[in-house]
Amino acid sequence: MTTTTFGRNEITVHLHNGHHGSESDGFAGDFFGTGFWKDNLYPNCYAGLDAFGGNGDPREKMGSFWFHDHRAEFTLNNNVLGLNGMYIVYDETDPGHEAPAANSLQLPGYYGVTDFPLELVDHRFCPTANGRTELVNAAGGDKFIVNGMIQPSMTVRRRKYRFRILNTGPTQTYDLTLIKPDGSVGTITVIATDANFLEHPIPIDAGANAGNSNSTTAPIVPGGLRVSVAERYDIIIDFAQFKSGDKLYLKENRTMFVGNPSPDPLPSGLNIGNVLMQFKVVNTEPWFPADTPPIPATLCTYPPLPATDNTWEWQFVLVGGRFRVKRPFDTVGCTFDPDHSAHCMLQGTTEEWLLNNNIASGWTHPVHIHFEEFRTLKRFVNGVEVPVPPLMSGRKDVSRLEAGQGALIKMQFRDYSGRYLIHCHNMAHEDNFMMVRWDIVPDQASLDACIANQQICELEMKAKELFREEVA
Amino acid sequence: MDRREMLTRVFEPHPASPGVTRYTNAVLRNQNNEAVKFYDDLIRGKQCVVNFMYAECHGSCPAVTQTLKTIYRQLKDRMGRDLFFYSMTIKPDEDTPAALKHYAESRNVDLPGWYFLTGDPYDLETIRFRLFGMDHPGFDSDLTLHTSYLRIINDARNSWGMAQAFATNANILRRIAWQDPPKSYAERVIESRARQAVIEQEVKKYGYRRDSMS
Repeated sequence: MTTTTFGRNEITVHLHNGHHGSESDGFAGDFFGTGFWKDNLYPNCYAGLDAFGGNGDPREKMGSFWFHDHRAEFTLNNNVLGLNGMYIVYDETDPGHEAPAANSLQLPGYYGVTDFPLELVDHRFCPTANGRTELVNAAGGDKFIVNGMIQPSMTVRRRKYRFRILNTGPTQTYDLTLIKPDGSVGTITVIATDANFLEHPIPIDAGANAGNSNSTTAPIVPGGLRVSVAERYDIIIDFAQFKSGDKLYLKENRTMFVGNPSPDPLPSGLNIGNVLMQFKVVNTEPWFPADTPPIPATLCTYPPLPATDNTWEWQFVLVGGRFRVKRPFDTVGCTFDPDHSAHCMLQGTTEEWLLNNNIASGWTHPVHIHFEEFRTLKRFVNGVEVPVPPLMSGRKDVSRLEAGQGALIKMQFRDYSGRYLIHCHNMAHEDNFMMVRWDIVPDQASLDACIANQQICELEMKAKELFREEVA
Repeated sequence: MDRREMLTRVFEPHPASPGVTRYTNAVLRNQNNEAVKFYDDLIRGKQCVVNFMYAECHGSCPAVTQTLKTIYRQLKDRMGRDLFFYSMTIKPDEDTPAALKHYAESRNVDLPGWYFLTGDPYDLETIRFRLFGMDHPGFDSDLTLHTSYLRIINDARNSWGMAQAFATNANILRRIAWQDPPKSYAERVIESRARQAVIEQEVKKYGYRRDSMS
């Protein structure tokens, strides 16, 4: 098979989205090859170490992290070949068990029993229409894979389950719906977005709660949960309302080719090619953990946001076939330069960033910011402000910008200093340099030095270099 | 292996190199009208930078050629030994070996280790797709966009990387260095120690690891 999909035996491990020092962040230029090793220090703390001491501000709690290779230019290849996984952190409100305990929310929480990660990835097995066989291409894979299996089946008891959905990409966006035995769309309750608990759980279905769905732009999927690359949604599905022997399906909006008919009769209107996985409901055996109490109406309270110290804009653009990140004063935009930062800020400050995909490229850019979670203040469509969708109201670390969309986010830079990244998490875009470095510096002298050495937008720099060349 | 040995050594291809199945062994002609096989003569065991251009281009190609010329000067100890530049035409009907020779001479880039290649349009299209295609028709197929990327190949490591032709020279040099032949353990340890010393110095001076001002 002719393929361009080969991995690279050089890695740099990024814990997405841990609050930790720059040297442990898995910076894209910090890769190392065989024969070498590196210790990353993950304190597993909450943000706000400086202000709160100890383990940080408990209101900044996070749970469903994932880690993946971040090798510049080869993130996609290495991730497709499997260099990623989930990294789950517990605390007293989400303790990893269901027994009553002080401050515990008593969510479904026995890992591997009532709490499962669902890692979505698509791989290519058959050639595309034009004969291409690469695993990696813009069309994405032709098979949707859940936890390493195509169309797995899972036996579930008549009780609540927690699923931690993660799209490991490399490029495609999923629109998920739960299909009940009668063919209608079931209710899923989102409790966390990108590892952060929502303040209040958000139910999604095609009926009364259709307004909570985030599949509201083309392709519109009623009651759908849209998951772009690197986004995580922790959901709870309550199977108690179904009877033993019922079969439910997790449906993906796109269709894959499946050569065989379904072994089980499918609900009306469901095509086997849209089935992502199957749930078989059975009665809860006596030895199986009993159902948990109802999902609490309030899961957590977010701390108030501090005043803004600075505003900034990043545009994600496709200029002349080149993926770039553009700052307010750039004419063309920047590519990834591991040696220079594109933006510098003082440690302990708070900034508002406008993330923009307002160039009509037609691409979706799931923009990921390293280091700390952000809050979405405003959303824009073609420059016009729209209400922040419910699923983007919580803390997140990936902001999905579909064509024409923008987001105003607010983020704090505290506890640590050093270099971090902002990039499009569509791994093909990231590997084609839609990524820039930004630095947190501890004092004014460092800030001046950082700004003096700031990355100069490529084309202007190029013009200078060429001019020097001509003169010489 | 010291640096000198590295520069004179002929590397074997990596055992896992897909060889002709990826790169093809198409017979091309360089600006001196010599027939060369793409994999056997140009890629096998070598490190190279491949870009696509055409002689009559008045858009971005002249700037890219100028960039490569600057890069060439900085790496001239290696050029023609273990590092090569291949500028391949996307208009083989116009760009005969003589036309490419004229192009190279007129820009003072008819240099050892830098080949301007032409050949059968089907072969060139296949190579372009194999090197730059991610099933993405935009990359380098459109005449106005064809110099977006430099493909950096090292067959001895079975690795390749990419640089944007309009990145800064330092950025491109770093990306070429990322595909350099494997260094010995001892050499890498010495480099790591030197880097660690710089980091410690910076941490002492500024209170954090800057890593930037190289």
